[in-house]
Amino acid sequence: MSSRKKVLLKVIILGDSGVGKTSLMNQYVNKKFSASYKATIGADFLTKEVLVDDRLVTMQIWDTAGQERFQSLGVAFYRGADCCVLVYDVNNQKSFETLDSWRDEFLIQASPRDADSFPFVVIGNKIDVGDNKRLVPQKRAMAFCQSKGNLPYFETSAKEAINVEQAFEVIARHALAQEEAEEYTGDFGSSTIVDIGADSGDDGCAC
Amino acid sequence: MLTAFHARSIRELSSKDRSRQECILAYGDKLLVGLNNGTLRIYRVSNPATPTDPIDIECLREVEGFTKRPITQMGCIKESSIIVVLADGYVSTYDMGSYEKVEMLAKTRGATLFALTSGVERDIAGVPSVVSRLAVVVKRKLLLYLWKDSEFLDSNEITLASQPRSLTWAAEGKLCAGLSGSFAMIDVNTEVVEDIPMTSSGGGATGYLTWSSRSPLATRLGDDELLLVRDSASLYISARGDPLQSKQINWNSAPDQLGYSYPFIVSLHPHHTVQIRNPETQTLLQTITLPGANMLHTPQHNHALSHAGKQFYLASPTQIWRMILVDYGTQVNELTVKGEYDEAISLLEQLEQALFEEKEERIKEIQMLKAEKLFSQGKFRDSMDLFAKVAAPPARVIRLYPPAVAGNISNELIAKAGVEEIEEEPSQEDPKAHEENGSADIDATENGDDDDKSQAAEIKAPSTPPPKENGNRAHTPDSTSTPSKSSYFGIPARLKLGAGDDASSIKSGKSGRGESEPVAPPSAAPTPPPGGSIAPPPPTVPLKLEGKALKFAVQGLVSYLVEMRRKLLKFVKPDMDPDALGEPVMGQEKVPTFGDPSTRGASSVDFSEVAALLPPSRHGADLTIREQLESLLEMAKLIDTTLLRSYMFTNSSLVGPLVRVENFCDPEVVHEKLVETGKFKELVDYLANKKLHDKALILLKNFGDRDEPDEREPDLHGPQATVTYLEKLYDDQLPLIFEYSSWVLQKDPKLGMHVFIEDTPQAESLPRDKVLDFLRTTDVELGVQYAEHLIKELHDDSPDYHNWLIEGYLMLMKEEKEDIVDDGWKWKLSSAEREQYAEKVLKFAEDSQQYWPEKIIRWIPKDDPTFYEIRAAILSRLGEHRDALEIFVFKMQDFGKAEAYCNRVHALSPPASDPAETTTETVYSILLTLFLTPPPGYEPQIQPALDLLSRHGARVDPLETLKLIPESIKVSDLEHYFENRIRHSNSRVNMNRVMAQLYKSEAFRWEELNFEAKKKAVIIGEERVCPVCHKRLGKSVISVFPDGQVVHYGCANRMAGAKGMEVKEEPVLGLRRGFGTDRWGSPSSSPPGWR
Ligand SMILES: Nc1nc2c(ncn2[C@@H]2O[C@H](COP(=O)(O)OP(=O)(O)OP(=O)(O)O)[C@@H](O)[C@H]2O)c(=O)[nH]1
Ligand SMILES: [Mg+2]
Repeated sequence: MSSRKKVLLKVIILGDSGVGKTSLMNQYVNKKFSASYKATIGADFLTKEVLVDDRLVTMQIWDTAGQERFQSLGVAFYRGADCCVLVYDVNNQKSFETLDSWRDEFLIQASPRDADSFPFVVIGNKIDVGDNKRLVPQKRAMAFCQSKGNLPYFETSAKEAINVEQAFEVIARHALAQEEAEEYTGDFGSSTIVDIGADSGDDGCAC
Repeated sequence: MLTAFHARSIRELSSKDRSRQECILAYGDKLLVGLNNGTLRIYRVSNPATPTDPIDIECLREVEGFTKRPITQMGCIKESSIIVVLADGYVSTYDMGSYEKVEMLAKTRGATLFALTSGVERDIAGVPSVVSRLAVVVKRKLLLYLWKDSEFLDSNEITLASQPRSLTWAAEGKLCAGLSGSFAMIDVNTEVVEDIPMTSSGGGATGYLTWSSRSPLATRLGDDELLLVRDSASLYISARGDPLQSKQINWNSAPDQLGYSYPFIVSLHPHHTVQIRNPETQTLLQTITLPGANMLHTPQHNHALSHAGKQFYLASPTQIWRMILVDYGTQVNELTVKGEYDEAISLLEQLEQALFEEKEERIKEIQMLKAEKLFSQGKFRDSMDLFAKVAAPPARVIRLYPPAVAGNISNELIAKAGVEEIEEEPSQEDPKAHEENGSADIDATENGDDDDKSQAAEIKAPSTPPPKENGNRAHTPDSTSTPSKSSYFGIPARLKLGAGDDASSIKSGKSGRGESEPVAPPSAAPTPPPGGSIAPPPPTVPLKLEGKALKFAVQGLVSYLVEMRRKLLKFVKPDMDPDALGEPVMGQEKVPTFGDPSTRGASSVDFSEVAALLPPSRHGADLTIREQLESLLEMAKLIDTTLLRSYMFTNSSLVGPLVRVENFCDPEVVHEKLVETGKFKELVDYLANKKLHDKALILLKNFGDRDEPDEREPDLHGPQATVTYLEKLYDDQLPLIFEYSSWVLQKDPKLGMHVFIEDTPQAESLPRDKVLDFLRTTDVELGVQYAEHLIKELHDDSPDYHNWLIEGYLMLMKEEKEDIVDDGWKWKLSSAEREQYAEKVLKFAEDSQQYWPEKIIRWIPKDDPTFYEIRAAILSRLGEHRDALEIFVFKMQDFGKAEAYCNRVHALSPPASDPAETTTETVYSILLTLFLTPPPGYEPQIQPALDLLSRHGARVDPLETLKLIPESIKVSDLEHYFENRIRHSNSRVNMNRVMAQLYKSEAFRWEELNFEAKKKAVIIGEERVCPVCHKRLGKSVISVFPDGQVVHYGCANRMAGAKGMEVKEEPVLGLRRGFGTDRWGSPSSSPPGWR
């Protein structure tokens, strides 16, 4: 089985500043949480080996800066992404409303071959804060996910480690499926040279 | 492949002359030649303005017998005006002006080689000064001298493993010696000698070389690099001696002599050939064969200016050539035209900015040419990545594509536009390139067409006349070339202008360029203009992109466009208006700062990035902010519009995302493309994004409000899409919301109502009064629904909504049928429905505290039984209990309800302060009155009255009651009442007695407690001491703690502190021995708060 080679899954986490992207990644990979906030600059990644259906894969989880939107990371950064995680804070209306544009911008930057089937996973974080502070009802979030093509949706708390593991398990699964689909169709890499029959110069007419 | 230098023969000994040239030295405009007979000839050589101008050479002097034997080596220290000569085994110094011998260094007997250096060195204290050093090789010894106060002082001697055969000064105080077995780096101060390992060239063998008899060669490359060569092996090292990149020069024959003429490596090889190489790429750029040449003289490394020595000399025993550098612009052009883009870029990168003013732009230009070449070779991704890396102007990239992608700037269209035009171009090119607003893309469009090769030749033509000057001299007044500023600017007109320093003359030169354009060819410019004039078209045959190749090409383009878009978005936003600029107040934070010369330094935005995006402003005048912004916006529009077309072509699923995010797409193109492909959903998204809500909503209505779905976008059929759209609008779009919700509310009121009652910030932003007005005029029922939502869900307490809700209910109930059918039912609603509403109204009238009963009561029909209870409820709210009860008793004759009414009112009225007392006029009395003395026309209701009395007798005043009771009633009938009444009174009396007893016993308990507390006593004996101060308590005032501890009164605080108790703030007064207990409270968790 040729696909038994080592698989590296590239997962990109996006979302407004302060929604807890870094915290989710840290909770998942290091099982740690810090209450103090340090804005992420640029992007950073952690890796984790996980079993997906008895298959060992390496997840490379890229945490990005919510503050800079897409301005500092180039197209190259998004190339080859296998899954995109969209995070918002259930206690912050704005962070939910921007999900759509995070998604759209991601699609533009990453240019996946089939935008409609590219896997996104939506996470509503900070559910530990309390119902009375909650501003985005679960119903609305689910309606959004529904409208974007049934995106998997999780409500998590990076602080209390609620649902984090489960969310990433699904993320890994979708990423792997995507990776395999890409493999199947074959990505056209930078080295692809298409012979278009153009005369390359020197060896032209020898008369 | 390149003409970097022209070899100009400047001197040839006549055949009669028997002397032979042995050694040469050049400095400033002087050329010194040592002959085999010991004669020294001194020439002055003029500096030609162009490589082809005649060179004047004049023999100034001939010093016969300058040395006894032929000169082996010459050098000079310009700073000290001395010439150093090695002849006849001795090193001597001569005066540079008189050529008189100054001194012979006696210790140098047997010398074979020397090396000179002048450089800035720091002394121990760190003070920099120019130090000249001389190193002389005598056998295995190295004699070191330091130039001090017009003489050489010998400092030290270092003995090496073998006799050095080459000697090169590296960094300050470091000397590189080529020994017979290896190279060594010698620190002249510490005398440490380090071997420099050098692996053999070519095949991976790592052993040391076996040295042949050929001399080891070394030369400095610029300030901090050295090149070592032994046979065909080469090694780059740092000036400190550390090996650098493992680059190898691929010599076709091992060099005999080696030198550096900025920025090239020059070497002299057997058979009298000179090779010029690029030190970065090692590429052999030029080979010149000069008959008999056996002496290579490159300028000595100059500490102040590494690019000082650009010219060098070659000599044979009978002839001297001066190597004249072709100006860099021409060289770069030549490389570019030949398609040697990497070479051209490398050369430019090594040149200092000062020597090539438009260096960066030029590099960019050549990289774009390279990218075009890659494109023509089908390496689309690489090509586009390169275009993106240099932020190539989008127009230039996009035009490579067919019109389906590129729109009307496509080359294919331009090519079709006619051959005549193209033929004219070369002649127009130059003026155009200089036009004030000419941008690189225009230039490129003109000449870069993918046409036939004959055109390439034509285009080359204008750039071939070699520029008369190499634009560097003015900046480098070095002595090897005559500074000739006048000729630098070429045209006399400029001379007049440029009187001042270099900087100002450059400026004037630039500003003058515009006027003198027609007369002045580009060769007059300090550096040749970048961009169009030299750009050869990429070596392509007419490239027709089709099918799969086109698809790949477009995919590449997408990544370029996306990258450019990302860069641009930092500076521009789609809603920016260039007209609004200028006043910085309007500023979109960042934008007004870029490019503004005054703020450039302080700007938080990396200006260089903006500059990199814009077409180069090569005409001195900086673009204004507005111009920059306009061109950026223009660029953004081109990028996004092309991106849209590209997506349409390759990946239409990305069209949606593009039109939804901030974008600059040309609205017409969007419209055309989306309609053409039936992407109406995307069109709606686009319009929404551009805030063209009315257009979007009309579109949605067209698709939604029709009988059959439009097969182009069946999903948009029905009201759902409009509702979804309206749900996203805030109150600022209120008129539109009203306008376009109308049809939806008609078609599907339930769905339509979502716009107004959904739990979203948008719906919540809508002004409730206006929405209610709108809905109730649309349909009362909707108004009712909305008011219910306001009151029940949102808990809105405004009386208006409460009043209106009742009004709305009533309106619905009162609505009559248009045509009365024979069944006689005149209401529009069925009786069940009316009943339902009546219940709602009743419940609401009872629950709500916000409506105005005095207003409502007027709307309630008096005689419609449906409204009886409602009316009663509202009368009740008005406190008109009699009227309310009359309804129950007379109209409805429902005594149970009447009694229930009384109970309700009674429960709500505040209990009387004395429960024994009954107010004269309770609701029960009213009811009783109505029962017993009804208004005329109604029968008294004795039995209900008696029932009431028996149940609530206590709540009516007994005297009043008795008065009301008609005499006809038997006392026995009243038995119940009296019994009840008396029992009630008795129970009150008993209850009060019990209470009195309870209070008494409570009082007693407290007294007891008080007594217990005061009973406590302590005994103070003679010996008893205070546990705090350890003094006797004696007869002083004391404090007793609850646990029996006794301390001085004065010590009490400390004790309390130790126990964590709190002192009650009670005056000390009356405190007597034995009665201190009361001062202490119980230990409290809070820190003791006493003083
Ligand atoms: N209560 C609570 N706080 C959280 C949770 N997740 C993150 N936080 C806090 O929210 C703040 C922001 O978290 P980060 O993970 O740094 O946010 P981010 O999304 O990485 O932000 P940027 O790096 O600016 O994009 C920190 O103070 C976290 O401690 C959570 O689940 N519950
Ligand atoms: Mg972060």
